[in-house]
Amino acid sequence: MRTRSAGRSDDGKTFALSLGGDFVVELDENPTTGYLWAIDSMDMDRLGFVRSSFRPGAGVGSHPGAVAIGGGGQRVLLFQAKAIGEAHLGLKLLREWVGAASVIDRCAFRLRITEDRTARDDTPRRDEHGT
Amino acid sequence: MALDSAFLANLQAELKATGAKWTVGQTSLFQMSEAELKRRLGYVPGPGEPTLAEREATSASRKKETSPPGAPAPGPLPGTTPPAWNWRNVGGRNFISSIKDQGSCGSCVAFGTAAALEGDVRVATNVALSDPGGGALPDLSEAQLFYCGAGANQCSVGWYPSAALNYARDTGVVPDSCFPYSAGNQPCNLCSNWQNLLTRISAWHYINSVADMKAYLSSRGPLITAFTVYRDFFGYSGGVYSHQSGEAVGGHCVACVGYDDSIQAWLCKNSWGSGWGEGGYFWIAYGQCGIDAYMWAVDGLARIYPLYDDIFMRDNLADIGQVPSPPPAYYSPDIIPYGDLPVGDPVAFFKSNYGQDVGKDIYKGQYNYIYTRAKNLAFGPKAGKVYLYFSRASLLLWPSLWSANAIQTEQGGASAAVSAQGLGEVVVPDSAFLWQPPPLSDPHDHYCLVSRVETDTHPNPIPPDGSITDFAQYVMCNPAVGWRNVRLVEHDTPSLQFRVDLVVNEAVKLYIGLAATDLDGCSVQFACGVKGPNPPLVLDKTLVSGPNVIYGIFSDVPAKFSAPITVSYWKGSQPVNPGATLKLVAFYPIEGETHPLAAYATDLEALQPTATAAPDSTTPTKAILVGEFILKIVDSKAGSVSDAPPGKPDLPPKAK
Repeated sequence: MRTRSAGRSDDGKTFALSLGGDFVVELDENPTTGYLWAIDSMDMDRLGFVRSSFRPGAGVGSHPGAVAIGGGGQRVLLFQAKAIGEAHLGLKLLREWVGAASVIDRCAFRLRITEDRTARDDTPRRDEHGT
Repeated sequence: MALDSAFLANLQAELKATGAKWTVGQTSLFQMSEAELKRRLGYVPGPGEPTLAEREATSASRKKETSPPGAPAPGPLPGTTPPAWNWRNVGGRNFISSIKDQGSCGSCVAFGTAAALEGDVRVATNVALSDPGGGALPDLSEAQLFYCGAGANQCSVGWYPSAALNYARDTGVVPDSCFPYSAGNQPCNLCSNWQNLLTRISAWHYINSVADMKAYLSSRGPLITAFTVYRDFFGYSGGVYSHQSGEAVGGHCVACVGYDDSIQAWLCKNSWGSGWGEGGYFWIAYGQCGIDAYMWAVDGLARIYPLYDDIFMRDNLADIGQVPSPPPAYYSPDIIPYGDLPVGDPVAFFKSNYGQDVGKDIYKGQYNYIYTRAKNLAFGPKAGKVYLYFSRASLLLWPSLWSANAIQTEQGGASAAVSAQGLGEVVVPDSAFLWQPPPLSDPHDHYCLVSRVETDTHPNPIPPDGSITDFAQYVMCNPAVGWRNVRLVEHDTPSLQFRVDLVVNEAVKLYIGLAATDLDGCSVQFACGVKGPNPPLVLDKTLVSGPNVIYGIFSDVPAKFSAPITVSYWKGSQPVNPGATLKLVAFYPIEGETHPLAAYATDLEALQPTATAAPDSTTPTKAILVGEFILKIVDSKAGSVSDAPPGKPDLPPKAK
């Protein structure tokens, strides 16, 4: 089972994903600012949310592997393809207690889920027209 | 969406089940990773400082600690602390600046440091945000702290409080207006004259004892602290936060501005805007998330923009010592005419009402007590002298109009001494000035009182006329000069007022009285505001009732006491009999008939029909007349001094 990975620079791209395959999104996040990545919209019939985790950023100075107070890292979101078809995934960076007015960033991905478990198309493509 | 609703429901149920004392608001939190639940984020705030996990372990161990050991803070902290403290409300005064928003940049260290420093400055100078003129102390630039102190590309990296405090010590921090904050990596971009706008601390230290944290908070001001943020913290909307669930997502810096033992929690100021938590603040339980493993404290201040740095007198109530002071210049609440009678404890009284202008009009034709007060803005103990002058009203008020019109203190001194122990202390001289204003020909005219503070670092000499073209501008740019315009008003003007010196070499109990002969229906009063006698030598205005009476008080007069007593006389409605006299007398009380001087003693009871102080078992019944100053009263406003003994009583040696 292949795992597809995407980042902030892949915003708007289409990924091919085999049924049951994992889709991982890694996004810069600094939770101590109050801004967290959240799901904006998702095709829940075809895509399932598995888990979210936070990976602290690189260390500074003479302390590799450690971050200073207020330092950020990467939000790692794991999804799984659960039905064939095209699925949309939209994410937003916001302060949750404020709501939509606080959104300062968004990104979205399109997933083409097929039965082909040997699909090798791991090159991201821009929208349905392809690039 | 459904995913978030489920998480919220789960968290709410968990808070309820665990009896948590905080509430969660509407959020769209993600589900958590089990793996991340056990994860701790490492951070190294500086050489020798513990990780977040170590902070948490230390804080957790404090829960059972009653008297934790800790490095002693420089300078004395109170031995006992109140059960609760909140710098947002100290007797209705708020010392904490408004809630800020760091936005999407990881600059919390700059915000936590600036918030604490702003509060510490206000506490040290005793200028609350809500005080008149309180807004003159600017909020400090988080942008400078972060983008200049930490670096231009630190938003995703974070910073350390120790580094921020080093920057505040070594460079200083400008007002927010010099480099306003916006979130996002950017170069240091200070205003052109930033070197003149700095507020600097002198030193800082760690506090690692909960007792010392409370002692510092309740006496010195806010502290800087850091803690581990867990996912459930974002949903906090009120109550006392304690971690229930969710992954650790980083270390966060805030200012701690209070505590409350009744709810076992610290009050902290966050930098996520006022829409989060309790108006931007949160309570967090003692020992939670490393919040009280140790905190960072400012030891002292080395410079405060835009304040003067020495003893100063206000030009008006909104003047907090900033240069220049706000107009108008001629309403100094620190030049305080206070009528014809002294204040019993002027130091305590005029300190207690520093926030008010309690000055009165000047009473025509009589001696007026004029008190002064000042505030120390020097960064340590400071002493000085206050001088007071008067001038006829004048458009330009050249120094030559008032420099020769020095008003003396009640004891005849040229100045009144002030002494402060530290920054922010209000000082009130023991000595009042005493002034009998010369008559003004124009009833609508007024006088100007000008004060001047002289210290070793600011001698503040009276300038030549040519250097002052606009006296108001001169006063507003010189915090050591005060100015108050005063009206002259009729206020029960005595028919006669005179002053008699009282000099005492060694401590003695005296009966000081006014003996009135043939003055039935008249009124008398005496007053001396010089500190020392107990009770003070004051006889309030008293109606004379009888042909030959004495009114007075017993008082313990200290050694080396020397001061004039001001005697006032108001004639009654009836003509004064020829031969009427008013005497200021001093009696030396003795006890018992066996006293060697008893044969010369007067029966006090016979001469004291209505003493101010009620006699008791210890009140002597006999006394020896040791001083007398006689006025022959004639039926006119003027009196004539007799050829009586001199006004300085020559006291006998103390009886054994």
